[in-house]
Formats: sequence, structure tokens, C-alpha cells
Amino acid sequence: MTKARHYLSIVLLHLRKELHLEWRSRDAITGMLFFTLLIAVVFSLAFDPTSNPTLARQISGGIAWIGLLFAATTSLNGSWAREQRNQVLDAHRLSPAPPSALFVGKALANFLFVTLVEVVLVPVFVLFYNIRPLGQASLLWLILPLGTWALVLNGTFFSALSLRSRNRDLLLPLILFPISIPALLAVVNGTTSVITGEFDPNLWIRLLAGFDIIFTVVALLLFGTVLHAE
Amino acid sequence: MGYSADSIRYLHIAYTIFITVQVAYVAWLAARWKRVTSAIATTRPPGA
Amino acid sequence: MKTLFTILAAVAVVLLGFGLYQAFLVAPTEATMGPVQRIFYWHVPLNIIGEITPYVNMLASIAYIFLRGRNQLAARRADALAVASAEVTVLFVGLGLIGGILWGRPAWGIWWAWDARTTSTLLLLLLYVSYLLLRRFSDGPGSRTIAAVLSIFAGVDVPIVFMSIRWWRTQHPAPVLTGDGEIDPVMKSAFAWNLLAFFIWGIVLIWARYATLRREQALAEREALQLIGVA
Repeated sequence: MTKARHYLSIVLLHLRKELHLEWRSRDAITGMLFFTLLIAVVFSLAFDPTSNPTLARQISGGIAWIGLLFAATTSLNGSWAREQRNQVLDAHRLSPAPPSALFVGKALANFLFVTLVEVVLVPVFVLFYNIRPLGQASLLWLILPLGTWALVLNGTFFSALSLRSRNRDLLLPLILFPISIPALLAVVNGTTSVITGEFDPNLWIRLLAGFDIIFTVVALLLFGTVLHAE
Repeated sequence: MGYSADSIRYLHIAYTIFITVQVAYVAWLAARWKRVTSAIATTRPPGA
Repeated sequence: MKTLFTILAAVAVVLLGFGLYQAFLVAPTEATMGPVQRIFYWHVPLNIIGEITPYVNMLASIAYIFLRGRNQLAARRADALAVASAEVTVLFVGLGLIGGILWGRPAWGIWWAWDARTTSTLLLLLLYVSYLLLRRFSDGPGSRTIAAVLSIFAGVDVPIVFMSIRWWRTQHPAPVLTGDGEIDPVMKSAFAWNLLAFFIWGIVLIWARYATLRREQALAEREALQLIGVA
């Protein structure tokens, strides 16, 4: 019991540190927010949401998530690059604290950032694309966090993975997107089903939950290996 | 038989690609093998 | 070992030739699809073997992570096997996809139908291309471990991909590959010969690539030792 509490306290410590750092600059959140907003605007140029309301309903969920995925990719790299300065990462390696606590803390922080971005973006999308959800809107409370966690979990893990490579910024999307496709598919379909009300999102929510559980376990098991890879 | 000419043409294209790509892969492997073997011959073994 | 490899390679080449003969001259022409159906004799074995090799890659990667602190030699062997099997996966699945595209045009009328099988195979290809890219982009110490970690993620992802794409695409009428009609026994045996041929051919290719990689590892080791002046 004390062990679990100890672990939790380290996770919270990392989380607090991340939040503190982000609060000082607010770079990641501002960047992601504006990036996704731009995606929404740019995509609305590709087709006319006002004269094609059905189409807008069908694809706006996908646009929102793809925008978020791109935005998260741009900011996730920074969250680890920060640790490389002043050899902080080496200090983490030497520290007796469990490595996965560092990962969980960072992933939770990124989760909060992306969620915050979503909270701002949902009304923007509703406004821009004239969306009135025809399905069960309350399910979004389940779909949004599950989808965000899937995205952030793999993103945080893979940006740690690509730390040591040359052209790190290029590598992250190249390895993150293929792995995340099932989660992206599930979250886009789940969101679309809520907006259009055309089909039942249960299957997709279950897939998302399964994806989250499986990859959380794999990431926790393997993060130590990644941190100590030499 | 009345099958479209396309049917036979695409069949031939497919097998041409199958065979060419695999032959190219084998050739690339052979070249790599040759290069590394000759490079090993010119470097001294550890401890020699 | 070398003679075994030579024998295996010879058997594979002969079997591939025999499989081609079976596919083109022995098997009857399929009634509805016409000659283009003969693409299947290589297309399907390529994909079947290409769906097994990812697991070779994942098991070798797990072995690498497990062995790297204990037994350097065995760990390097596992790593070479992982790369070799990932490369053969990309080769076979890529060729299988090209065959599928070329078959789809005359049979379905479109090059690419986004049906369940095609889509999940494409994603499988993307996963292993990304693995090879990671190996390319990162070198030096640690890159092997990192690639092994990605390989485990990819291996875990493969069944999820197949499942999710099937759910996604079952809402749409997907063209059925062979249907429930009876398959001519001659076709079946031609297909079985080709499957056997590609099984052995796959082993031969992985083996050859593995041996090359082992030599390259040995060369890198020698050069490193020379550099620090040990040798």
C-alpha cells in the first residue's frame, strides 16, 4: 500500500512539474490550439460546410481529430526535448524513482493539455460547421477522454522513443500514425456517430477502451527499457 | 473465351512485377553480401 | 549450415518455378474472373507468409530485449533476425498489395476498394515500413532496443488493426474473394504448391538477409575495435 502511495506521489510530482513548466510558457497549449483552429479553417475551404450540412456532419469529427493528432504531434516532441537540456534525462536515469512514473506523469500532463484544447475547440467546430449532434451527445464525455488518452499515451511514448534519433521531428509522426490508426478510426467513428446519429457507437467505444488498456500496459512495461536504452 | 484483354494483360503485369522485384531484392542482397565479405577480408580480426 | 542453405534455396527456386507452371498451365481458368484470377496463386501466399513474418519480428525483438543484458551474441542474433523478418514482411506484403491492386482493376473495376482485407494489409505494410524507417533514422547505441520496443508495439497492434478494420468495413458490402462456390481440386493443389514454395522461399530470404546482417555487425565491431586501437 505504501508502495502504491509512493508511486502515486512520484507521478503527481512529475505531473505538477509539467503543469508548472507549461504554465510558465503556455507554448504547447497555445500552439496546439491555434494549429487545430487553422486545420478547421483550412478544411472548411476544401468544401462548403454551409451548403452541405450532411457532409459537414459526416466529416467534421474526422477533421477535428486529425487536427488534434497533428497538433499533438507538433507539441509532444517538445515535452521530451525539454528533458534533454542540462542532462535532465540522465538525472532521471540515475534516479531510483520508477521510470514509468515519469512517463505517467508526462502523459497525464499532455492529456490535460490536449483536453483543454478540446474544450475550446468543440464550440468552435460546432460554430464553424453548424453542427447539431443528432446522436447521444452525452457519450462524448466517454469518447473524448478515451480518444485523447489513446492519442497522448502513444504520442508521449513514441516521442521518448524517437529522442535518440536523427531528425526526431520527422520520425515521430512516421511511427506514431501507423500504430494509432485503430484508435483514430475508433474515435473518429465514435464522434461521427454522435454527430450524425446514424449508427451505434458502442463498438467503437469498446475498441477505444481496449486499445487504451492494452497500450497503457505495454507502455508501462516497456518505458523503463526505452529510458535506459544505451 | 471472351475474356477481356485486360484480364490477361494485368495478369502478366502482376507476375512481371512479382518476379522483377524479388529478383532485384535478391540481387541487392547478393551485392550487400559481397561488399561486407570483401570489407571483412580487408580488416584485421579483433585481437590479431 | 552453408550446404543446408544452398539446398533450401535450390528447393525454393525449383518449387517457385513448379508453382508458376501449376498456376499458369495446370490450373484451369476460373469461370467468372478469367485469367486474371491466376494472380491469386502468388498473391495469396505472399500475403499469408507476410502475415506470419511480423510475429517472427516481434518474437525476435522480445528475445533481444530479454537477452541484451545477458548474452551479447544471442541478442545480436535476435536483432538481425528481427530486421530480416521485417524486411521480408515489407517485401512480401508490398508485392501482395500490388498483386491485389492489379487484380482489382479487371475484377472489381477499381484499383483500390478500401475493403477490409486490403485496408488492413496496407496498414500492416505501413507499420513495418515505419519500423524499418526507425532503424534507418537512429543509429548508434540504443537504436536496437528502441526498434525492438517499436516492434513489440507493432506486433500488439496488428491484431487490433485487423479487428477494427473488419468492424469498420462490415458496414459496407465488401466483395468476397472466392465465395462459397466449389474450388476445383486442381486449383487447390496448385495453390498449395505455391504456398509451400513461398514458405520455403520466405525462410531462404530471411536467412540470407540474416547472414548478411550478422556479417555487417561483425564488420562494425571490428571497425570499432580498430578505431579504439584494441585490434
